Amino acid sequence: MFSKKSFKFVMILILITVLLLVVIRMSLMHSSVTRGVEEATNTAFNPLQKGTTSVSNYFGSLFYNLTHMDDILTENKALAEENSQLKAKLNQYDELLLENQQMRSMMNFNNRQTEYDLLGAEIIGRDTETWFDVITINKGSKDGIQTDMPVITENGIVGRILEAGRNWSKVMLILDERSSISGMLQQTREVGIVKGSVESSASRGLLQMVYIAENAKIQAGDLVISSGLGDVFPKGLVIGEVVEVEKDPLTLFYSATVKPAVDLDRLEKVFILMNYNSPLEEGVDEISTP
Amino acid sequence: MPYLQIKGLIPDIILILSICYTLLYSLQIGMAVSVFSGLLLDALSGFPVGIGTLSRFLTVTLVGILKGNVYVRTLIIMTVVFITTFIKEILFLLIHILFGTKLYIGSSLLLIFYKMLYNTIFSPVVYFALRKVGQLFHEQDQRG
Repeated sequence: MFSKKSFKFVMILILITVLLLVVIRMSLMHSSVTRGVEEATNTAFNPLQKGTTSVSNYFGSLFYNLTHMDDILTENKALAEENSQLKAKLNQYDELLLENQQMRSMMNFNNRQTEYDLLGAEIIGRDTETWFDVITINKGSKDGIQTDMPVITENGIVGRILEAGRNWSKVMLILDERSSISGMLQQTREVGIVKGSVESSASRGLLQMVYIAENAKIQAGDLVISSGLGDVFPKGLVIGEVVEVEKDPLTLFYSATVKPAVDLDRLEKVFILMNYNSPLEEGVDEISTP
Repeated sequence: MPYLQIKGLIPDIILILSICYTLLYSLQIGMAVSVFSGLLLDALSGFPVGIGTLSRFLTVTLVGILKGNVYVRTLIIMTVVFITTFIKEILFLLIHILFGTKLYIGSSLLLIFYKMLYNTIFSPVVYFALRKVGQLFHEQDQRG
């Protein structure tokens, strides 16, 4: 029925398929073998990833600078102005902080830990699959990184540590459909859950804030920050800005489309919040695992 | 590859490469490229190792079985990449469902369509690069 050559081909096909199915199963069960292979691969390719990322970033920036020279000059001027304004504001802030500290000590308040240790890291890899939003950074467990540590930039939340290898870590972006953060509208203090989603292709790159109370005052342009009710992110980190609001006629909750504050498509450097200890035993910030 | 990223989508270079190898050379080479590069990519990414590889491997095998004696041109590569991207993404979803992984499928058919378009647009770049490398090796062989 089959020629010898066809039979051999079919057998190889079946063998590879079965082997790959076994690998998938082992990987889903977090087997030590696949974990070891993953660790070894990531460690071995870490320098290569760093190198290619540096080269690609260099040429990317060069190309961008050449094609956006006018924009850069205008932006530079605007930034210089903003910088001087911010410096003035920073001085005011320092003054207020000092005043606040004095008042707190006067009133015998226990100072909450409001400053965190930040560890800088560079993006060295990005997954290519359509369904997940995961990046790889060049810092790992030897730098003190652990699972679920918050990852941020100066603009806001990026995501959380999904997995930490020796000198690399996987970061699940807030856009990932498994991501869920307890958020809060900065102005009105209304809380909700901010989820990453690929449900709607039109809103690719946007977040969904759900379970916002029906009497909430919410409108486009409102800033969404972390509420601190979860066990991963401290209170007050910027998540994004509301771009659209709609009311679910069934549940009567509001839901909002939120644009992330961080440009997650163009990330190059991030910070890991090293010493945030959640005051809560169990929080809302979750990863919906398979 | 942040500079290749559009709306969170990145072209599936390994799929394109495996298909080009299958059409230009042989199915065996295409299969080998899809399995080894796929496993490497899966190990470097943050989701279950093997799902992307298996979906690419099966897609490339299908291309190899059906290819016949087609005369490879850019348009053929683009058409094959367009169709196979759909097959690969559907297989990817099916394998996830088979293993009980939660995925919100929703209106993601449109998302697959965007990926099909992006891969198709990107495929001539990979095809010409591969042909150029092949020519260089061929010229070196002739000189040697």
